[in-house]
Amino acid sequence: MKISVTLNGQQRDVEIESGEMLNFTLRERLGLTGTKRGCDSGGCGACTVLVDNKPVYSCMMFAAKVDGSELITIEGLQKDGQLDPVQKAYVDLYALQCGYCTPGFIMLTKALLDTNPHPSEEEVREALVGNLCRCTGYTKIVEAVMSLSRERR
Amino acid sequence: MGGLRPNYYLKPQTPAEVTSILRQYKEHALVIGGGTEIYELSERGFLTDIKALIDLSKLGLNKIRTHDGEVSLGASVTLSQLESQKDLYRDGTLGCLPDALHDLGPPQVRNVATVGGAVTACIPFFDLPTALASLDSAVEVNGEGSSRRIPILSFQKDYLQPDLNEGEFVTRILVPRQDKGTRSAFVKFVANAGDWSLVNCSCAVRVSAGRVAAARLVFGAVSNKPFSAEKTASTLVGKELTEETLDSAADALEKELVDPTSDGKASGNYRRRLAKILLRETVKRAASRETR
Repeated sequence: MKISVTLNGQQRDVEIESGEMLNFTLRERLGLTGTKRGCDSGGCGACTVLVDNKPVYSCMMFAAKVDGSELITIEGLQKDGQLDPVQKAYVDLYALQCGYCTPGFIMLTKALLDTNPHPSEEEVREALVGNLCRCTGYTKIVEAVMSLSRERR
Repeated sequence: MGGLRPNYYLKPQTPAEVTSILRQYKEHALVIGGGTEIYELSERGFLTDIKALIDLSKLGLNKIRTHDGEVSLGASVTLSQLESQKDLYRDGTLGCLPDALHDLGPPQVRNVATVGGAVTACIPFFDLPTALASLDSAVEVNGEGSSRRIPILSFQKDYLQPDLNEGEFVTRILVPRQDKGTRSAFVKFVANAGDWSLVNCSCAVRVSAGRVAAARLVFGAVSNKPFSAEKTASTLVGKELTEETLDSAADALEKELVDPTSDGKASGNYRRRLAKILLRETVKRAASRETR
């Protein structure tokens, strides 16, 4: 079957299998490997993308379900070679080490700040509950998000 | 990828179409809500015989409506959509719902998973069915152009077994008007932040002139379906909510909760002890809930 989506601002049609997950479609059919495949069971958050501006786990989202939706992946954040402020904050504050979880964290952060521009630290920790990082111990990640929260005040 | 290899992913436009697909494919068709639990089952090697997935998103079942005190939740309402209905929870009557929804999973799941899915899946350690049952909710089921209402406690027959006949599917969850002054709360115990409930408890209680006038107490994850502790709830009625009253309710629960689920995560005895602790916490939280 075929689905049509707006992917990072561009109209895309893609042929998929009926039971296929969005993570597979993005990585294997559309070549967008910035979105990671982690636990593959809705627990680690590395596969997080935005569907109609809401964060979802692409590993447990049927690709057929997003037909007609607007998708944003990590590749869609930079503009003309300039990093998105969220990406920049993660870099500036060393909120990553190996980088595998980072696309998921950044997409989640993006969605959080779009709906709540200056969250409290508690709200940040709560929002990030579905993303795991094995390197940073989360401290740096929370600091990066909080820096954006303050900046937007 | 897991066990699921459907030939078709269908988005019917009308209830009649859903029924016709269900009739055509029988046990090889599966209605999906957000699909998140379906995926987990598939990853565990189940659902290998499913040929058609039925997505209800074109049926307009994503509405929350209040009519004459009854709240109707469309099957496709997402968990985050339900949680965001602040006005619905202001007087504390339906307070168990946001309690249950808040810690139910990460935003990535709550944005996708649906109310209909959470109820129809019949997974005994889910949180929302326990909360809905404590409000005496019913499930509206559609098939062959007619619909019927089933109390959620009998709709969930057993593990993974909803009360659905051939051609039927869930359209709405109905939360009836609660008696004036009713307050509700939900509390769960988990082994870690991302895990399922070891035991959960939801309570709707009405206190009048210092004494309990009515109480409903439901426990989840202690059996294959939500367990309504009617005898225990009845020990509260007519009493002041003192420590002694809660002690005797906990004693009653000890007797009423026969043979709770025992598995690799927790023994039945441990679950019973947890249930007795949650009982106290939940009743107190419900009774002390204030209008916001």
